[in-house]
Amino acid sequence: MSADSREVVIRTYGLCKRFGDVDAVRDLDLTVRRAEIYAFLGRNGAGKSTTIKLMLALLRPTSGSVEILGHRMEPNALRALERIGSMVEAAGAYGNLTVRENLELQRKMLGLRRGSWVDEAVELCGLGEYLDRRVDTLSLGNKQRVGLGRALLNKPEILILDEPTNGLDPAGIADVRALLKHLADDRGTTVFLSSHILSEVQQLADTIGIIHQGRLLEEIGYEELRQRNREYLEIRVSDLKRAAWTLEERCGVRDYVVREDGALRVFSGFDRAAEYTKALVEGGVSVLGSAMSEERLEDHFMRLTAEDERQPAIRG
Amino acid sequence: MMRALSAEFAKLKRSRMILWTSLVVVGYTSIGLAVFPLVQKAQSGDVAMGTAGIGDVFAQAGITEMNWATAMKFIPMGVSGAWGIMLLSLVAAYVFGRELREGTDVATATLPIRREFVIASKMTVIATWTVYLCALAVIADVAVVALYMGFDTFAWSYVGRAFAETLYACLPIFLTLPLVGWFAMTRKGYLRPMLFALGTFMVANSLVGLEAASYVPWAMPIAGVGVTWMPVRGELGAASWLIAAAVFVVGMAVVLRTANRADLSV
Repeated sequence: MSADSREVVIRTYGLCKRFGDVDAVRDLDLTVRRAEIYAFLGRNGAGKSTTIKLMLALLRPTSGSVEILGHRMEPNALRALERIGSMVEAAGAYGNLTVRENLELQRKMLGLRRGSWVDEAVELCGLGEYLDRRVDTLSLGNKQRVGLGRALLNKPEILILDEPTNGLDPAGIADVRALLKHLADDRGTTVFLSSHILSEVQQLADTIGIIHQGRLLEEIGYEELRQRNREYLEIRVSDLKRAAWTLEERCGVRDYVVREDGALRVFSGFDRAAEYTKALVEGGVSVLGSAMSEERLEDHFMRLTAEDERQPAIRG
Repeated sequence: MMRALSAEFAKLKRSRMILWTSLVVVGYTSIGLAVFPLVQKAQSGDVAMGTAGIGDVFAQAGITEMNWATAMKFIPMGVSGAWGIMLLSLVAAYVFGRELREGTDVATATLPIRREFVIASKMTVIATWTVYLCALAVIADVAVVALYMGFDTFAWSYVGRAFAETLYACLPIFLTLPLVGWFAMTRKGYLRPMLFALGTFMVANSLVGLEAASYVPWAMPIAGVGVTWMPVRGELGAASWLIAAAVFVVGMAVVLRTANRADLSV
Protein backbone atom coordinates (compact mmCIF):
# COMPACT_ATOMS: atom_id res chain seq x y z
CA MET A 1 0.00 0.00 0.00
CA SER A 2 1.50 3.34 -1.00
CA ALA A 3 1.84 5.98 1.66
CA ASP A 4 -0.32 9.07 1.22
CA SER A 5 2.03 11.99 0.62
CA ARG A 6 -0.51 14.73 1.31
CA GLU A 7 0.22 16.97 4.28
CA VAL A 8 -1.37 15.89 7.54
CA VAL A 9 -3.38 18.82 8.90
CA ILE A 10 -5.16 17.21 11.84
CA ARG A 11 -3.63 14.57 14.03
CA THR A 12 -4.68 13.25 17.39
CA TYR A 13 -2.34 11.31 19.63
CA GLY A 14 -3.83 8.80 22.04
CA LEU A 15 -6.72 11.11 22.73
CA CYS A 16 -8.80 10.18 25.76
CA LYS A 17 -11.66 11.91 27.50
CA ARG A 18 -13.31 10.56 30.60
CA PHE A 19 -16.46 11.98 32.16
CA GLY A 20 -16.70 10.48 35.63
CA ASP A 21 -16.79 6.73 35.08
CA VAL A 22 -17.51 6.99 31.38
CA ASP A 23 -14.80 6.83 28.76
CA ALA A 24 -16.26 9.04 26.05
CA VAL A 25 -13.14 8.86 23.86
CA ARG A 26 -10.45 6.21 24.21
CA ASP A 27 -6.98 6.25 22.80
CA LEU A 28 -7.98 7.92 19.56
CA ASP A 29 -5.38 8.35 16.83
CA LEU A 30 -6.81 10.24 13.88
CA THR A 31 -5.06 11.47 10.78
CA VAL A 32 -6.68 13.96 8.43
CA ARG A 33 -4.91 15.10 5.30
CA ARG A 34 -5.12 18.38 3.44
CA ALA A 35 -8.05 18.95 1.06
CA GLU A 36 -9.79 15.73 1.90
CA ILE A 37 -13.29 15.25 3.16
CA TYR A 38 -13.05 13.14 6.25
CA ALA A 39 -16.31 11.64 7.47
CA PHE A 40 -16.33 10.69 11.10
CA LEU A 41 -19.03 8.10 11.54
CA GLY A 42 -20.59 6.73 14.64
CA ARG A 43 -23.85 6.03 16.31
CA ASN A 44 -25.42 8.56 18.66
CA GLY A 45 -23.25 8.71 21.76
CA ALA A 46 -20.27 7.04 20.06
CA GLY A 47 -17.98 9.96 20.91
CA LYS A 48 -18.10 12.02 17.72
CA SER A 49 -19.06 15.34 19.29
CA THR A 50 -16.67 14.83 22.18
CA THR A 51 -13.84 14.23 19.73
CA ILE A 52 -14.71 17.39 17.82
CA LYS A 53 -14.86 19.40 21.02
CA LEU A 54 -11.47 18.02 22.00
CA MET A 55 -10.13 19.01 18.59
CA LEU A 56 -11.36 22.57 19.02
CA ALA A 57 -10.09 22.81 22.60
CA LEU A 58 -13.64 23.10 23.87
CA LEU A 59 -12.85 20.18 26.11
CA ARG A 60 -9.61 19.39 27.81
CA PRO A 61 -8.41 15.84 27.10
CA THR A 62 -7.94 13.47 30.00
CA SER A 63 -4.81 12.36 28.17
CA GLY A 64 -3.38 12.63 24.69
CA SER A 65 -3.33 15.67 22.46
CA VAL A 66 -4.58 17.22 19.24
CA GLU A 67 -2.45 18.94 16.66
CA ILE A 68 -4.01 21.05 13.93
CA LEU A 69 -1.94 22.75 11.26
CA GLY A 70 1.11 22.10 13.39
CA HIS A 71 -0.35 23.76 16.48
CA ARG A 72 -1.19 21.90 19.65
CA MET A 73 -4.81 22.62 20.43
CA GLU A 74 -5.57 24.08 23.81
CA PRO A 75 -7.73 27.01 24.93
CA ASN A 76 -6.47 30.16 23.22
CA ALA A 77 -4.69 28.26 20.44
CA LEU A 78 -5.33 31.40 18.45
CA ARG A 79 -3.01 30.75 15.52
CA ALA A 80 -4.76 27.53 14.65
CA LEU A 81 -8.23 28.89 15.31
CA GLU A 82 -7.62 31.72 12.84
CA ARG A 83 -7.36 29.11 10.08
CA ILE A 84 -10.24 26.90 11.17
CA GLY A 85 -13.96 27.27 10.61
CA SER A 86 -16.24 25.22 12.79
CA MET A 87 -19.81 24.49 13.62
CA VAL A 88 -20.45 22.30 16.64
CA GLU A 89 -23.84 20.91 17.57
CA ALA A 90 -26.75 23.24 16.86
CA ALA A 91 -25.50 26.40 15.25
CA GLY A 92 -26.11 29.26 17.65
CA ALA A 93 -26.69 32.82 16.57
CA TYR A 94 -27.85 35.99 18.25
CA GLY A 95 -31.61 35.98 17.86
CA ASN A 96 -32.01 39.75 18.23
CA LEU A 97 -29.73 40.36 15.25
CA THR A 98 -30.41 39.82 11.56
CA VAL A 99 -28.53 37.29 9.48
CA ARG A 100 -26.39 40.07 8.05
CA GLU A 101 -25.65 41.48 11.50
CA ASN A 102 -24.70 38.07 12.81
CA LEU A 103 -22.28 37.57 9.96
CA GLU A 104 -20.90 41.10 10.36
CA LEU A 105 -20.44 40.41 14.07
CA GLN A 106 -18.48 37.28 13.25
CA ARG A 107 -16.41 39.21 10.71
CA LYS A 108 -15.52 41.77 13.38
CA MET A 109 -14.61 39.11 15.90
CA LEU A 110 -12.42 37.38 13.36
CA GLY A 111 -10.67 40.67 12.78
CA LEU A 112 -11.46 40.65 9.04
CA ARG A 113 -11.53 43.92 7.18
CA ARG A 114 -14.69 45.01 5.43
CA GLY A 115 -14.96 43.42 2.02
CA SER A 116 -16.50 40.51 0.24
CA TRP A 117 -16.27 38.09 3.15
CA VAL A 118 -19.90 38.32 4.18
CA ASP A 119 -21.26 38.43 0.60
CA GLU A 120 -19.33 35.33 -0.29
CA ALA A 121 -20.50 33.38 2.76
CA VAL A 122 -24.07 34.46 2.02
CA GLU A 123 -23.80 33.24 -1.55
CA LEU A 124 -22.18 29.94 -0.61
CA CYS A 125 -24.82 29.16 1.99
CA GLY A 126 -27.83 30.45 0.06
CA LEU A 127 -28.70 33.04 2.67
CA GLY A 128 -29.46 35.87 0.27
CA GLU A 129 -33.19 36.05 0.82
CA TYR A 130 -32.86 35.92 4.62
CA LEU A 131 -30.18 38.57 5.03
CA ASP A 132 -32.36 41.15 6.73
CA ARG A 133 -34.41 38.78 8.80
CA ARG A 134 -33.83 38.41 12.51
CA VAL A 135 -32.32 35.05 13.28
CA ASP A 136 -34.97 34.19 15.88
CA THR A 137 -37.55 34.17 13.09
CA LEU A 138 -35.67 31.59 10.98
CA SER A 139 -36.33 27.88 10.74
CA LEU A 140 -33.88 25.43 12.30
CA GLY A 141 -32.50 24.58 8.87
CA ASN A 142 -31.84 28.20 8.02
CA LYS A 143 -30.23 28.79 11.39
CA GLN A 144 -27.97 25.91 10.49
CA ARG A 145 -27.10 27.73 7.26
CA VAL A 146 -26.23 30.84 9.27
CA GLY A 147 -23.94 28.71 11.42
CA LEU A 148 -22.31 27.35 8.30
CA GLY A 149 -21.95 30.87 6.92
CA ARG A 150 -20.21 31.96 10.11
CA ALA A 151 -17.88 28.98 9.87
CA LEU A 152 -16.94 29.86 6.29
CA LEU A 153 -16.42 33.56 6.82
CA ASN A 154 -12.66 33.49 7.27
CA LYS A 155 -12.15 31.21 4.24
CA PRO A 156 -10.84 28.50 6.54
CA GLU A 157 -8.21 25.96 5.54
CA ILE A 158 -9.98 23.44 7.72
CA LEU A 159 -13.68 23.16 8.28
CA ILE A 160 -14.78 21.12 11.28
CA LEU A 161 -18.49 20.36 11.30
CA ASP A 162 -20.50 18.39 13.78
CA GLU A 163 -23.59 16.89 12.13
CA PRO A 164 -23.83 19.80 9.67
CA THR A 165 -27.06 18.68 8.03
CA ASN A 166 -29.09 18.45 11.22
CA GLY A 167 -32.42 20.14 10.71
CA LEU A 168 -32.02 20.56 6.96
CA ASP A 169 -34.59 19.33 4.46
CA PRO A 170 -33.48 16.99 1.65
CA ALA A 171 -32.78 19.90 -0.69
CA GLY A 172 -30.76 21.62 2.03
CA ILE A 173 -28.77 18.43 2.64
CA ALA A 174 -27.98 18.22 -1.07
CA ASP A 175 -26.91 21.89 -1.05
CA VAL A 176 -24.57 21.33 1.89
CA ARG A 177 -23.13 18.25 0.23
CA ALA A 178 -22.48 20.21 -2.97
CA LEU A 179 -20.98 23.08 -0.99
CA LEU A 180 -18.57 20.84 0.90
CA LYS A 181 -17.53 19.12 -2.30
CA HIS A 182 -16.93 22.50 -3.92
CA LEU A 183 -14.86 23.71 -0.96
CA ALA A 184 -12.69 20.62 -0.96
CA ASP A 185 -12.28 20.29 -4.73
CA ASP A 186 -12.01 23.92 -5.79
CA ARG A 187 -10.54 25.63 -2.76
CA GLY A 188 -8.54 22.85 -1.21
CA THR A 189 -10.41 23.15 2.07
CA THR A 190 -10.05 20.19 4.38
CA VAL A 191 -13.44 19.15 5.67
CA PHE A 192 -13.84 17.08 8.80
CA LEU A 193 -17.44 16.25 9.45
CA SER A 194 -19.22 13.95 11.82
CA SER A 195 -22.40 12.19 10.96
CA HIS A 196 -24.53 9.24 11.83
CA ILE A 197 -26.31 9.34 8.49
CA LEU A 198 -24.22 6.99 6.38
CA SER A 199 -25.95 7.64 3.08
CA GLU A 200 -25.07 11.29 3.48
CA VAL A 201 -21.33 10.74 3.62
CA GLN A 202 -21.23 7.83 1.22
CA GLN A 203 -21.47 10.27 -1.66
CA LEU A 204 -19.02 12.72 -0.21
CA ALA A 205 -16.17 11.34 1.83
CA ASP A 206 -12.61 10.65 0.76
CA THR A 207 -11.75 9.07 4.08
CA ILE A 208 -13.96 7.49 6.66
CA GLY A 209 -13.28 7.10 10.35
CA ILE A 210 -15.60 4.86 12.28
CA ILE A 211 -15.89 5.47 16.00
CA HIS A 212 -17.73 3.18 18.35
CA GLN A 213 -17.97 3.45 22.11
CA GLY A 214 -15.20 6.04 22.05
CA ARG A 215 -12.73 3.95 20.04
CA LEU A 216 -11.69 4.47 16.48
CA LEU A 217 -12.47 1.13 14.86
CA GLU A 218 -11.24 1.96 11.41
CA GLU A 219 -9.84 4.77 9.35
CA ILE A 220 -9.99 3.99 5.68
CA GLY A 221 -10.04 5.74 2.32
CA TYR A 222 -13.41 5.46 0.69
CA GLU A 223 -11.92 4.19 -2.54
CA GLU A 224 -10.06 1.51 -0.65
CA LEU A 225 -13.26 0.61 1.11
CA ARG A 226 -15.05 0.30 -2.20
CA GLN A 227 -12.33 -1.89 -3.59
CA ARG A 228 -12.44 -3.95 -0.48
CA ASN A 229 -16.21 -4.16 -0.60
CA ARG A 230 -16.85 -7.55 0.66
CA GLU A 231 -19.21 -10.01 -0.81
CA TYR A 232 -21.44 -11.83 1.57
CA LEU A 233 -23.92 -14.59 1.67
CA GLU A 234 -27.20 -13.43 3.09
CA ILE A 235 -29.30 -16.16 4.64
CA ARG A 236 -32.83 -15.32 5.70
CA VAL A 237 -33.96 -17.55 8.53
CA SER A 238 -36.89 -18.12 10.88
CA ASP A 239 -34.88 -18.00 14.13
CA LEU A 240 -31.83 -15.75 14.15
CA LYS A 241 -30.52 -16.78 17.55
CA ARG A 242 -30.64 -20.47 16.83
CA ALA A 243 -29.25 -19.92 13.34
CA ALA A 244 -26.27 -18.00 14.70
CA TRP A 245 -25.60 -20.69 17.28
CA THR A 246 -25.90 -23.41 14.67
CA LEU A 247 -23.50 -21.74 12.24
CA GLU A 248 -20.92 -21.15 14.95
CA GLU A 249 -21.15 -24.56 16.61
CA ARG A 250 -21.71 -26.83 13.64
CA CYS A 251 -19.90 -25.02 10.85
CA GLY A 252 -17.32 -23.00 12.81
CA VAL A 253 -18.45 -19.74 11.19
CA ARG A 254 -17.15 -16.67 12.99
CA ASP A 255 -17.17 -13.99 10.26
CA TYR A 256 -20.85 -13.11 10.19
CA VAL A 257 -23.31 -10.50 11.42
CA VAL A 258 -26.87 -10.81 12.58
CA ARG A 259 -29.22 -8.32 10.97
CA GLU A 260 -32.35 -6.99 12.59
CA ASP A 261 -34.33 -7.74 9.46
CA GLY A 262 -34.21 -11.50 10.04
CA ALA A 263 -31.07 -12.25 8.03
CA LEU A 264 -27.55 -13.44 8.73
CA ARG A 265 -24.67 -12.24 6.63
CA VAL A 266 -21.73 -14.58 6.29
CA PHE A 267 -18.56 -13.04 4.88
CA SER A 268 -16.47 -16.10 4.14
CA GLY A 269 -16.72 -19.73 3.09
CA PHE A 270 -19.19 -19.09 0.29
CA ASP A 271 -18.34 -22.49 -1.24
CA ARG A 272 -19.84 -24.03 1.87
CA ALA A 273 -23.25 -22.40 1.32
CA ALA A 274 -24.96 -25.74 0.86
CA GLU A 275 -23.36 -27.02 4.06
CA TYR A 276 -24.65 -24.01 5.99
CA THR A 277 -28.17 -24.49 4.73
CA LYS A 278 -28.08 -28.17 5.60
CA ALA A 279 -26.76 -27.47 9.10
CA LEU A 280 -29.41 -24.87 9.71
CA VAL A 281 -32.23 -27.14 8.61
CA GLU A 282 -30.89 -29.97 10.72
CA GLY A 283 -30.64 -27.53 13.61
CA GLY A 284 -34.36 -26.80 13.35
CA VAL A 285 -34.06 -23.46 11.59
CA SER A 286 -36.18 -22.73 8.54
CA VAL A 287 -34.13 -21.20 5.74
CA LEU A 288 -36.37 -18.70 3.96
CA GLY A 289 -33.83 -17.82 1.31
CA SER A 290 -30.17 -17.15 0.61
CA ALA A 291 -28.30 -15.00 -1.87
CA MET A 292 -24.88 -13.52 -2.58
CA SER A 293 -24.58 -9.74 -2.30
CA GLU A 294 -22.04 -6.93 -1.88
CA GLU A 295 -21.38 -4.85 1.21
CA ARG A 296 -22.27 -1.16 1.26
CA LEU A 297 -20.93 1.44 3.68
CA GLU A 298 -23.88 0.92 5.97
CA ASP A 299 -23.27 -2.81 6.01
CA HIS A 300 -19.59 -2.28 6.64
CA PHE A 301 -20.37 0.06 9.51
CA MET A 302 -22.89 -2.30 11.06
CA ARG A 303 -20.57 -5.26 10.80
CA LEU A 304 -17.63 -3.41 12.27
CA THR A 305 -19.55 -2.06 15.24
CA ALA A 306 -21.25 -5.41 15.83
CA GLU A 307 -17.89 -7.16 15.82
CA ASP A 308 -16.59 -4.62 18.29
CA GLU A 309 -19.48 -5.29 20.62
CA ARG A 310 -18.74 -8.99 20.51
CA GLN A 311 -15.17 -8.43 21.68
CA PRO A 312 -15.39 -6.73 25.07
CA ALA A 313 -12.77 -8.99 26.58
CA ILE A 314 -10.14 -8.02 24.01
CA ARG A 315 -10.73 -4.34 24.64
CA GLY A 316 -10.11 -4.89 28.32
CA MET B 1 -9.28 43.20 22.80
CA MET B 2 -10.95 45.94 20.69
CA ARG B 3 -12.46 43.26 18.43
CA ALA B 4 -14.06 41.54 21.38
CA LEU B 5 -15.22 44.83 22.87
CA SER B 6 -16.76 46.05 19.64
CA ALA B 7 -18.51 42.71 19.19
CA GLU B 8 -19.87 42.67 22.74
CA PHE B 9 -21.48 46.06 22.20
CA ALA B 10 -22.79 45.06 18.78
CA LYS B 11 -24.55 42.05 20.33
CA LEU B 12 -26.79 44.44 22.26
CA LYS B 13 -28.42 45.88 19.18
CA ARG B 14 -32.20 45.61 19.47
CA SER B 15 -31.79 43.81 22.78
CA ARG B 16 -34.97 44.05 24.82
CA MET B 17 -33.03 43.71 28.04
CA ILE B 18 -31.84 47.29 27.67
CA LEU B 19 -35.46 48.41 27.44
CA TRP B 20 -36.57 46.33 30.42
CA THR B 21 -33.79 47.53 32.70
CA SER B 22 -34.46 51.13 31.67
CA LEU B 23 -38.16 50.70 32.42
CA VAL B 24 -37.39 49.31 35.87
CA VAL B 25 -35.20 52.30 36.73
CA VAL B 26 -37.69 54.81 35.37
CA GLY B 27 -40.58 52.94 37.00
CA TYR B 28 -38.85 52.84 40.36
CA THR B 29 -38.02 56.53 40.17
CA SER B 30 -41.59 57.37 39.24
CA ILE B 31 -42.70 55.91 42.57
CA GLY B 32 -41.13 59.07 43.90
CA LEU B 33 -43.98 61.00 42.27
CA ALA B 34 -46.34 59.50 44.83
CA VAL B 35 -43.95 59.17 47.76
CA PHE B 36 -42.18 62.51 47.52
CA PRO B 37 -44.93 64.68 49.02
CA LEU B 38 -45.48 62.17 51.84
CA VAL B 39 -41.81 62.10 52.76
CA GLN B 40 -41.70 65.87 52.49
CA LYS B 41 -44.67 66.23 54.82
CA ALA B 42 -43.65 63.59 57.38
CA GLN B 43 -40.08 64.74 57.49
CA SER B 44 -40.82 68.43 57.95
CA GLY B 45 -43.56 67.68 60.52
CA ASP B 46 -41.33 65.45 62.65
CA VAL B 47 -38.45 67.87 62.60
CA ALA B 48 -40.70 70.77 63.50
CA MET B 49 -42.15 68.88 66.45
CA GLY B 50 -38.81 67.49 67.49
CA THR B 51 -40.25 64.02 67.91
CA ALA B 52 -38.19 60.92 67.47
CA GLY B 53 -39.27 59.40 64.19
CA ILE B 54 -38.43 59.32 60.55
CA GLY B 55 -37.51 63.00 60.70
CA ASP B 56 -34.76 62.33 63.25
CA VAL B 57 -33.30 59.61 61.16
CA PHE B 58 -33.28 61.90 58.15
CA ALA B 59 -31.85 64.76 60.19
CA GLN B 60 -28.95 62.58 61.32
CA ALA B 61 -28.17 62.02 57.67
CA GLY B 62 -28.21 65.76 57.04
CA ILE B 63 -31.69 65.84 55.48
CA THR B 64 -33.48 68.47 57.49
CA GLU B 65 -35.57 69.92 54.73
CA MET B 66 -36.63 68.93 51.27
CA ASN B 67 -34.77 70.83 48.61
CA TRP B 68 -32.93 69.96 45.43
CA ALA B 69 -29.79 68.90 47.30
CA THR B 70 -31.57 66.54 49.70
CA ALA B 71 -34.10 65.25 47.18
CA MET B 72 -31.30 64.08 44.89
CA LYS B 73 -29.81 62.01 47.72
CA PHE B 74 -32.64 59.55 47.26
CA ILE B 75 -31.18 58.29 43.98
CA PRO B 76 -28.16 56.45 45.44
CA MET B 77 -30.37 55.25 48.28
CA GLY B 78 -32.64 53.70 45.66
CA VAL B 79 -29.63 51.83 44.31
CA SER B 80 -28.62 50.42 47.67
CA GLY B 81 -32.04 49.50 48.98
CA ALA B 82 -34.01 48.72 45.86
CA TRP B 83 -32.83 48.08 42.32
CA GLY B 84 -29.05 48.01 42.60
CA ILE B 85 -28.29 44.37 43.33
CA MET B 86 -31.18 42.78 41.47
CA LEU B 87 -31.02 44.86 38.32
CA LEU B 88 -27.25 44.87 37.91
CA SER B 89 -27.20 41.14 38.59
CA LEU B 90 -29.79 40.68 35.86
CA VAL B 91 -27.55 42.64 33.50
CA ALA B 92 -24.56 40.46 34.41
CA ALA B 93 -26.58 37.26 34.11
CA TYR B 94 -27.77 38.37 30.67
CA VAL B 95 -24.38 39.43 29.36
CA PHE B 96 -22.67 36.24 30.51
CA GLY B 97 -25.59 33.83 30.27
CA ARG B 98 -26.97 34.68 26.86
CA GLU B 99 -24.16 32.84 25.07
CA LEU B 100 -25.23 29.60 26.69
CA ARG B 101 -28.91 30.40 26.23
CA GLU B 102 -28.61 31.24 22.54
CA GLY B 103 -26.13 28.47 21.82
CA THR B 104 -23.37 30.87 20.78
CA ASP B 105 -21.03 29.80 23.58
CA VAL B 106 -19.23 27.22 21.48
CA ALA B 107 -18.85 29.53 18.48
CA THR B 108 -17.48 32.24 20.78
CA ALA B 109 -15.00 29.87 22.37
CA THR B 110 -13.67 28.81 18.96
CA LEU B 111 -12.95 32.35 17.86
CA PRO B 112 -9.33 33.37 17.56
CA ILE B 113 -9.75 35.80 20.45
CA ARG B 114 -8.30 35.23 23.88
CA ARG B 115 -11.06 34.19 26.24
CA GLU B 116 -9.71 36.63 28.82
CA PHE B 117 -10.47 39.43 26.37
CA VAL B 118 -14.01 38.19 25.90
CA ILE B 119 -14.53 38.19 29.68
CA ALA B 120 -12.97 41.64 30.05
CA SER B 121 -15.21 42.93 27.25
CA LYS B 122 -18.28 41.55 28.94
CA MET B 123 -17.31 43.28 32.19
CA THR B 124 -16.79 46.51 30.25
CA VAL B 125 -20.29 46.18 28.77
CA ILE B 126 -21.71 45.65 32.26
CA ALA B 127 -19.82 48.67 33.56
CA THR B 128 -21.14 50.83 30.71
CA TRP B 129 -24.66 49.54 31.27
CA THR B 130 -24.33 50.38 34.98
CA VAL B 131 -23.23 53.93 34.23
CA TYR B 132 -26.13 54.28 31.78
CA LEU B 133 -28.67 53.12 34.37
CA CYS B 134 -27.22 55.50 36.95
CA ALA B 135 -27.48 58.38 34.49
CA LEU B 136 -31.04 57.38 33.64
CA ALA B 137 -31.98 57.26 37.33
CA VAL B 138 -30.59 60.75 37.84
CA ILE B 139 -32.41 62.13 34.80
CA ALA B 140 -35.68 60.53 35.86
CA ASP B 141 -35.30 61.83 39.39
CA VAL B 142 -34.56 65.34 38.20
CA ALA B 143 -37.85 65.20 36.31
CA VAL B 144 -39.75 64.03 39.41
CA VAL B 145 -38.21 66.63 41.73
CA ALA B 146 -38.74 69.38 39.17
CA LEU B 147 -42.44 68.56 39.14
CA TYR B 148 -42.68 69.43 42.82
CA MET B 149 -40.04 72.11 43.23
CA GLY B 150 -39.63 73.65 39.83
CA PHE B 151 -36.22 74.72 38.62
CA ASP B 152 -35.91 77.88 40.77
CA THR B 153 -33.32 76.45 43.14
CA PHE B 154 -31.90 73.92 40.71
CA ALA B 155 -28.13 73.75 40.17
CA TRP B 156 -26.16 71.39 37.94
CA SER B 157 -23.91 70.65 40.87
CA TYR B 158 -26.77 68.71 42.47
CA VAL B 159 -27.00 66.54 39.39
CA GLY B 160 -23.25 65.98 39.32
CA ARG B 161 -23.14 65.05 42.99
CA ALA B 162 -26.17 62.74 42.66
CA PHE B 163 -24.58 61.00 39.69
CA ALA B 164 -21.29 60.58 41.54
CA GLU B 165 -23.04 59.21 44.64
CA THR B 166 -25.11 56.82 42.54
CA LEU B 167 -21.97 55.49 40.90
CA TYR B 168 -20.40 55.24 44.35
CA ALA B 169 -23.35 53.12 45.51
CA CYS B 170 -23.11 50.94 42.41
CA LEU B 171 -19.38 50.33 42.60
CA PRO B 172 -19.37 47.71 45.39
CA ILE B 173 -22.25 45.93 43.66
CA PHE B 174 -20.38 45.97 40.36
CA LEU B 175 -17.40 44.37 42.07
CA THR B 176 -19.60 41.40 43.01
CA LEU B 177 -20.98 40.87 39.50
CA PRO B 178 -18.30 38.45 38.22
CA LEU B 179 -19.74 35.94 40.68
CA VAL B 180 -23.18 36.41 39.14
CA GLY B 181 -21.60 36.03 35.71
CA TRP B 182 -19.98 32.80 36.83
CA PHE B 183 -23.34 31.40 37.94
CA ALA B 184 -24.75 32.35 34.54
CA MET B 185 -21.91 30.56 32.75
CA THR B 186 -22.29 27.28 34.55
CA ARG B 187 -25.85 26.44 33.57
CA LYS B 188 -28.33 27.56 30.96
CA GLY B 189 -30.90 30.09 32.11
CA TYR B 190 -31.00 33.04 34.45
CA LEU B 191 -32.62 31.33 37.45
CA ARG B 192 -29.44 30.39 39.33
CA PRO B 193 -27.72 33.77 39.05
CA MET B 194 -30.92 35.57 39.98
CA LEU B 195 -31.51 33.34 42.99
CA PHE B 196 -27.97 34.12 44.05
CA ALA B 197 -28.71 37.83 43.58
CA LEU B 198 -31.91 37.54 45.58
CA GLY B 199 -30.01 35.87 48.40
CA THR B 200 -27.39 38.60 48.51
CA PHE B 201 -30.11 41.26 48.28
CA MET B 202 -31.83 39.80 51.34
CA VAL B 203 -28.58 39.53 53.27
CA ALA B 204 -27.72 43.13 52.38
CA ASN B 205 -31.09 44.45 53.53
CA SER B 206 -30.91 42.51 56.76
CA LEU B 207 -27.80 44.50 57.60
CA VAL B 208 -29.43 47.93 57.40
CA GLY B 209 -28.29 50.00 60.37
CA LEU B 210 -25.59 47.50 61.39
CA GLU B 211 -21.87 48.18 61.30
CA ALA B 212 -21.29 44.82 59.65
CA ALA B 213 -22.82 46.24 56.48
CA SER B 214 -19.53 48.04 55.82
CA TYR B 215 -17.72 44.74 55.40
CA VAL B 216 -20.17 42.88 53.20
CA PRO B 217 -19.78 44.12 49.62
CA TRP B 218 -23.47 43.61 48.79
CA ALA B 219 -24.41 45.75 51.82
CA MET B 220 -21.69 48.36 51.38
CA PRO B 221 -23.99 50.81 49.54
CA ILE B 222 -26.31 50.61 52.53
CA ALA B 223 -23.43 51.48 54.84
CA GLY B 224 -22.27 54.22 52.51
CA VAL B 225 -25.46 56.05 51.59
CA GLY B 226 -28.21 54.22 53.44
CA VAL B 227 -31.62 53.27 52.14
CA THR B 228 -34.63 55.45 51.50
CA TRP B 229 -36.19 54.73 54.88
CA MET B 230 -32.88 55.03 56.73
CA PRO B 231 -30.43 57.37 55.07
CA VAL B 232 -26.97 57.54 56.57
CA ARG B 233 -23.97 59.73 56.03
CA GLY B 234 -21.39 57.03 56.21
CA GLU B 235 -17.98 56.49 54.75
CA LEU B 236 -16.58 53.23 53.61
CA GLY B 237 -13.09 52.61 54.88
CA ALA B 238 -10.13 50.99 53.18
CA ALA B 239 -10.95 47.64 54.75
CA SER B 240 -14.38 47.67 53.10
CA TRP B 241 -12.92 48.39 49.68
CA LEU B 242 -10.26 45.77 50.15
CA ILE B 243 -12.93 43.17 50.84
CA ALA B 244 -14.94 44.29 47.80
CA ALA B 245 -11.83 44.18 45.65
CA ALA B 246 -11.05 40.69 46.92
CA VAL B 247 -14.56 39.52 45.99
CA PHE B 248 -14.01 40.97 42.52
CA VAL B 249 -10.68 39.21 42.12
CA VAL B 250 -12.12 35.91 43.28
CA GLY B 251 -15.10 36.37 40.95
CA MET B 252 -12.90 37.12 37.96
CA ALA B 253 -10.64 34.20 38.80
CA VAL B 254 -13.51 31.69 38.81
CA VAL B 255 -14.97 33.16 35.62
CA LEU B 256 -11.62 32.95 33.84
CA ARG B 257 -10.98 29.48 35.16
CA THR B 258 -14.35 28.35 33.88
CA ALA B 259 -13.74 29.95 30.50
CA ASN B 260 -10.27 28.52 30.14
CA ARG B 261 -11.05 25.14 31.58
CA ALA B 262 -12.99 24.88 28.35
CA ASP B 263 -15.37 22.15 29.48
CA LEU B 264 -17.74 25.04 29.97
CA SER B 265 -17.24 27.85 27.57
CA VAL B 266 -18.18 31.51 27.58
